[in-house]
Amino acid sequence: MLLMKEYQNNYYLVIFIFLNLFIGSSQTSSYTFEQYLINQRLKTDHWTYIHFLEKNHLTTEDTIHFYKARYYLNYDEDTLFLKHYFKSKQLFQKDSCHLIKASISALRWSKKSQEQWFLSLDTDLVCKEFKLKEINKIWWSGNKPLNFSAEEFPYPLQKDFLVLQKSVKKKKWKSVLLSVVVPGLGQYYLGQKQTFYIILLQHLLVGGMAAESIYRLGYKNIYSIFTIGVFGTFYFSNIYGAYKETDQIKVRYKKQFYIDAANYYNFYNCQY
Amino acid sequence: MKVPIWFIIWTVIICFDVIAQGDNVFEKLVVTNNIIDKHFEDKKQVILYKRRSLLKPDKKIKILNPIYWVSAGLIYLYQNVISEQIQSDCIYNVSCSEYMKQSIKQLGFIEGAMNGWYQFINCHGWAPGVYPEYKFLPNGKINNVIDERISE
Repeated sequence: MLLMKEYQNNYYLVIFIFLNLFIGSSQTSSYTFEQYLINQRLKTDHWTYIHFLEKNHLTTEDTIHFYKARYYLNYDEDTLFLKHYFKSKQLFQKDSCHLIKASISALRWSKKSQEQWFLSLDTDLVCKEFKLKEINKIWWSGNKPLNFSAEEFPYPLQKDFLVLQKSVKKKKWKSVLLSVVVPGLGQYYLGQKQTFYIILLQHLLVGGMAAESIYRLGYKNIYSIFTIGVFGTFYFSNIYGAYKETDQIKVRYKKQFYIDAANYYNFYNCQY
Repeated sequence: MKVPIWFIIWTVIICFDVIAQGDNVFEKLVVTNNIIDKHFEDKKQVILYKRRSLLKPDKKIKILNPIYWVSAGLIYLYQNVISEQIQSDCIYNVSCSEYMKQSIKQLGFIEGAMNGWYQFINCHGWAPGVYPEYKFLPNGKINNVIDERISE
């Protein structure tokens, strides 16, 4: 019975594809068919459909790039999507639904492709669509968090934004200076209390070992040189870590804010 | 002639370590020959014992640098002799020694060593509390990247 069902499905699919190609030949786009392919996750079938249209010159070049852009958008391939988006920009900007969908998924992309996407959007278009405006605001607020306040965002995103705002205010020289004075205090300043306790404990143990060896055996002994060396590597790596972490926490909290925002707006689905 | 005690202790420890390492390799060979060949058709699924590689320099001139040989040799010795005995499971996706190897390759000896050592300091039970949610992989490990400012 199961086999029969499978054959039946394929049979309907073949008719469906044939009919759509027939409609496609008369220069009209079949949104429902595309939506069916996307919903069923028929990636290879979707690609063959687009390739068939391209090969037989059934549509114009712009629309082929438009189809390809939508295809790559649905399968989360940002660089290929952007490549085809710029070739069919005028067509794509008329489809407001996919514009919103692309900007939601753009929040999960790398920094370079995010910049390419959000800077390419026209200001008039952004002002017209309320949701596009909101997502655009989230991207700008991630880049310049001090120019925005947390109350402007929906409640579930406010906590992330406040953490991001705090991390941006942290300064390198302060964290480095604090970790020079007390090992691990720089990390405490950055909001990592757990690492502060661990680093302080490690330094106390290794420092105690080094001090004892110097007191008993003197500076010139191999054992004391070894312990001083170990303490030195711990101490300098702690300072270097504080210096590096000030930049990296900003990247981390920004990305977490973007991912949470993308998940918050993810309920949005395009209807044809 | 006086022989220092610490020298004798270290040589004995290293000898035991090398012997134990030999036993470990022998056991793994027996397992691969007798069990994996018979019961698993797809051998790619089974992780076989493989000696981990030496730190490779970017430029050929670096071979002349003695610091390169010291750092590469120490990491090679740790990965293939000591790490095998500990059988540790790191909370980070890339283990501390492998991370140090990669960071020395990218950032140079001094900065790379400090970067790797900082991860070693941070490898403790409370470390997951420091990282945000997205940094965790589906297997529960932390996705550690050498320089997040560039790669993310």
